[in-house]
Amino acid sequence: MTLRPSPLQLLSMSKKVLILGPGGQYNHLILRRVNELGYIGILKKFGERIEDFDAIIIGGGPARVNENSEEVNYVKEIVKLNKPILGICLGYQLISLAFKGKIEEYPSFGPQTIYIKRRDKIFEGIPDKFIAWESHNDTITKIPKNFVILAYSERNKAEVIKHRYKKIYGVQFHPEVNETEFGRIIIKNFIEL
Amino acid sequence: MKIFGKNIDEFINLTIKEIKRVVNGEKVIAAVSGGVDSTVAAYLTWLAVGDKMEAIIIDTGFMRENEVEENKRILEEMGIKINVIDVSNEFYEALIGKKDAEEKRIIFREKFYEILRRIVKEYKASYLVQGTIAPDWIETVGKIKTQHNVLVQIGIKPEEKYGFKVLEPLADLYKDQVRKLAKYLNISEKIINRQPFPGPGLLIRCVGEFDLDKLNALRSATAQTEGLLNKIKSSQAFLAIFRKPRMATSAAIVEFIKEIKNILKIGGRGFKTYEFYEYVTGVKGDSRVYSKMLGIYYKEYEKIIEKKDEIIQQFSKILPDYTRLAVMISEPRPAGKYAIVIRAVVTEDFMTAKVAEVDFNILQEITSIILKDKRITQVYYDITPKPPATIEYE
Repeated sequence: MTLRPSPLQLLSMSKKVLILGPGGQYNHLILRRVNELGYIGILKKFGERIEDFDAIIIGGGPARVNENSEEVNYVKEIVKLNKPILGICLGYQLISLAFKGKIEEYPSFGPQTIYIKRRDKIFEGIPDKFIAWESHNDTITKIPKNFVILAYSERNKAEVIKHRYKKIYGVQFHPEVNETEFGRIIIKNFIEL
Repeated sequence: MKIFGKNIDEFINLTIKEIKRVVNGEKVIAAVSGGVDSTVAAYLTWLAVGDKMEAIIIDTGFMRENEVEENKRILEEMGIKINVIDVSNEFYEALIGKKDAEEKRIIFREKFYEILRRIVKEYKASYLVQGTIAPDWIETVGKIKTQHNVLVQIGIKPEEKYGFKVLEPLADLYKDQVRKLAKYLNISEKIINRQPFPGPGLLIRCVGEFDLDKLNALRSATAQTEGLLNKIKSSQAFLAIFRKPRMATSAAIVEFIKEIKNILKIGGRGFKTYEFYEYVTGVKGDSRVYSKMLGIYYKEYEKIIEKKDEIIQQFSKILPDYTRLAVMISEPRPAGKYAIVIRAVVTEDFMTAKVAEVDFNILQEITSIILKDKRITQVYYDITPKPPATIEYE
């Protein structure tokens, strides 16, 4: 017995958000947040058949990836769909690799202070400094071409990045976990872009 | 009030209807523990099928002092008749001497269902209702840890293996949502506000090799400090018992201590470091880790606890082979067999958790009570959030 969105919900005018989860447990939390915010979240694994939707969130997973990983090729295909994309944690790393950025080993777990460097719609209603939670072994060390840094932390110069011309964002921390301050606002701002 | 994007009463009605439809007049066994999840699951089923449900408490031998009797009393006050089935000796026989966290959890699960199979057969029932909630199966499927109540989601077919079908009316909910539901159903506050207690109970809080002496020491320390543990502002506060750790050092540990001194802006000596013998579970970058735990002694331990977030960042960076860091509250003494670790966290959904902000007087008081048992000579406070740690140790 599982609760899927009811027919009534599916017929409503709410935006549909595709959550692509490469196996991570927090992807279920992304789904929970999206639904709580009143949108329709659809959680799919990489490679599963996908239907129409308004925005894409690429979530996390346990894999350690490099530029040759098949997940990167999959994300390149997803980018071609030309929808707003938010990459979270591993999703962020995959987007960076898809655009020829570089990642290296750089572990960070638990709370981290994030500083906003450049104001953007995604930060609407959020102060310049907030606490976010992280759980990663690797991070981006070279920003891909055509991306700009929006926020940083003491230990990571690129906590949040954005494509200059497309609605593509990457965040290294986890906005979906309860302990991240303003995480729900970040998710909402992204969907409302 | 809304739950999972639906009104609560709509959710309840749909669930009751669905249970009725699925069960279709057959008999149901509800295994309850006294925790909020299994109580709500049993209560909804009882509303759906009434007398066709029999509720049981399986006394595994890993419950806290007086817990079985008290659970029975509270549930019977709600109108549900309870049979207590004591199978503690069977569990002890299967588990004494076992060391590995996952092995212990899997043996527990197998034993638990083997016993349930017997009971379900005795009662001539076809269904078992249980209080599985979302993080249980998400973490089991994600291979973080084997929850004892997760079968279907990992491909075990209970009907073939154990002879009954499983009913999990709460499988899509998180703890806070189950609590909302319980409140709406007028379930006793005692059950709603009770600290979550894992199915395998004190077994997985006897970290590493299991034996009865360890279990007894832990059970009595837990009973004696429960009132104080409840005073810590937390979602969950409990004790776990370990073999007394050994003093240890390495180049990386020395570097880490140097970083702590930088963070605390202190110089000098006075730090001692200990390595626990047991491995403990953690979760890093979405993967399970089973790795080492470090203990630190420094006289002014309060300073370390105050700066725990910064210290944990350095800990993850400098000592990647470790996932837990605990600060010694007692004085280091050479004698004794065991160490006890106090774990207190704040969390909404148990997927992530902060270390609770704790009153040092309470820590000190808990410590002096625990140390009255001469088997225990060291007491620590765990300062690791989830991630990289998990809430429990196994």
